Amino acid sequence: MNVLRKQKTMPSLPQWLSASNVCYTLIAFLLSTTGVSATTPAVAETVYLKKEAALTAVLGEAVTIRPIEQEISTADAQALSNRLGRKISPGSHTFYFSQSPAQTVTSQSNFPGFNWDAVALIMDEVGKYYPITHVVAIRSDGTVKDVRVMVYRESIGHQVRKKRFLKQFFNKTSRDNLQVDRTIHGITGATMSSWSVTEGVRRALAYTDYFVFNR
Amino acid sequence: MNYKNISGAFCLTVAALMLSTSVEARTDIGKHTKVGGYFDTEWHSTESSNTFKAHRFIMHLNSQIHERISVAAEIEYEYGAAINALDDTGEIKIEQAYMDYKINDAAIFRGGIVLSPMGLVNRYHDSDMRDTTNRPIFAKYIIPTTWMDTGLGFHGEADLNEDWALNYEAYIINGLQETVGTGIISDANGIRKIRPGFKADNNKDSAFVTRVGISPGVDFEFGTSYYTGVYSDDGADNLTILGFDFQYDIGAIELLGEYATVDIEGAAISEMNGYYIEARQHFFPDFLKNTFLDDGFDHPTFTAFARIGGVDTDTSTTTAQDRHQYTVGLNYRPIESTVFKFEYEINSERVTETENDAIIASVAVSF
Repeated sequence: MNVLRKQKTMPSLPQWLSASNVCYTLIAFLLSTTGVSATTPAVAETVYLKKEAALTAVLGEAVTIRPIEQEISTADAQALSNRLGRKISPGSHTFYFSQSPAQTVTSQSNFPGFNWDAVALIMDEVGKYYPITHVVAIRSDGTVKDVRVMVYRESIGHQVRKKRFLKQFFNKTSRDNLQVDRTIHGITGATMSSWSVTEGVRRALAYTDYFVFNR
Repeated sequence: MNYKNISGAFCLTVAALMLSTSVEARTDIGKHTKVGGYFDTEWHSTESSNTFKAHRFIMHLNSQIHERISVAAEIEYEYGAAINALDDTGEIKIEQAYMDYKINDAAIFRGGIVLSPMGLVNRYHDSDMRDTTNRPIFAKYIIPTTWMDTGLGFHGEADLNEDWALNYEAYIINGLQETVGTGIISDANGIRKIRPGFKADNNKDSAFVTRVGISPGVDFEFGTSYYTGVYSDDGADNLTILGFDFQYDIGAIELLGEYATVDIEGAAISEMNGYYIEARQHFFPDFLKNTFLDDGFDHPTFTAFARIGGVDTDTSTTTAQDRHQYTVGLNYRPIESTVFKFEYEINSERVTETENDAIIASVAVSF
């Protein structure tokens, strides 16, 4: 008969009190007491133009700027999604119409219901990680007047704010094919930022065509 | 490998890091710091082998701690980071780790482990940025990518007018190091084996490296790169590299290329050079629209590419390494940061043809 010697063993901790479980609980507690959340955290950003300065830069100084908020219904969003080939969500967007002191241009649109020279839209389009805020100004004939980057949040690719890149959009219309590496030269190493601004201009043109020119 | 021990150790480490910070600092975790990276997985088929390769997993850390101060790092894990006694085919290394202090757009101080700003491939070496799987052979032996070093200097850019722009990088670094018993200059490896470590210079002389790029418009840039530094342990022998690069966009077509020549004092090899030229065509066929390749993606793209390159690792004679390399292929990007690549690579050796042509496929993703 074999007699197995019982070896002395330390009393074991309950399984729920294992080192890994303690660690996970501790980390969860620490996370819950901090400002860290599951959403994208705030990041240092470079503000090149604040809203008032951006609108003045693209619309001119000696003009009256009249903002009008336009609702985007579910039907509008679907129509715009089909037009742009990307998802547009319902909501609203503000159009900043400019009127010069000696208003001579008669707009050919029912919206906004007064004569205007140009309209500006402030766009947010995601680059690689964060949105690039930029303003697009469109003339009453539907051509792009100016584009300026207002806020840049990425660590690389800020060259998209330079006029040598942005002037590729000048005088473009909604009928022009705006695509990076086709008709728009992107910035090396910052293709996504290049697309971000390109998509913003495309969306601004599409919104203006749809809501202002009804076409 | 005891995975329980590893996960437990990792868990303890994270908890310790969080406990070690003040309450105020804990609320700032994540506020300024972005974590991302990229990885690639490859398949190589040659006359003698077919293999998958878990080539790279890279972590990027970037922290904009102030509008004028940032920190960036790139940590690479190659081939599963296998660096143990049973399998040492992997590698873990820091490819970049530096701080930037911005004076203005034209003058930004940079110090730490910096990328040597030679040419295009070394500066833009991320797998997802590159349209091909393999880098040009030039980037293996002549400008040995990835080439980084410890040092400091400045970089910046300036607009010369509305269209013309200039950019530059210039650093003082430890320099390439040939140490007997470790890496040496050879016709088999070019100057690849004399890339430096990060602990100490092997001589009393620092090296200087710079690139200046001039761009008359967003569609074209021409760059000149220059390196000079003593490489030998005794501080007697200098190595100089002069390189040229260009990028030119014509609508959906991109043309790019590099050439560099290396002059070496006091070595059996006194000169080597290499080059490549690459053409890319971006497109998306209409008949593929409304298929799974297009569905849900804003701007999916195919890119057809062709590249010719060559190296001469000893211009005084013809060696087994001297060759031309031809690569043709196609890739598909559903989104810009994700790319599926397929290419055929032909190696044409000048001395003895070797059966080393390859079919190569890979996927690369940045996140």
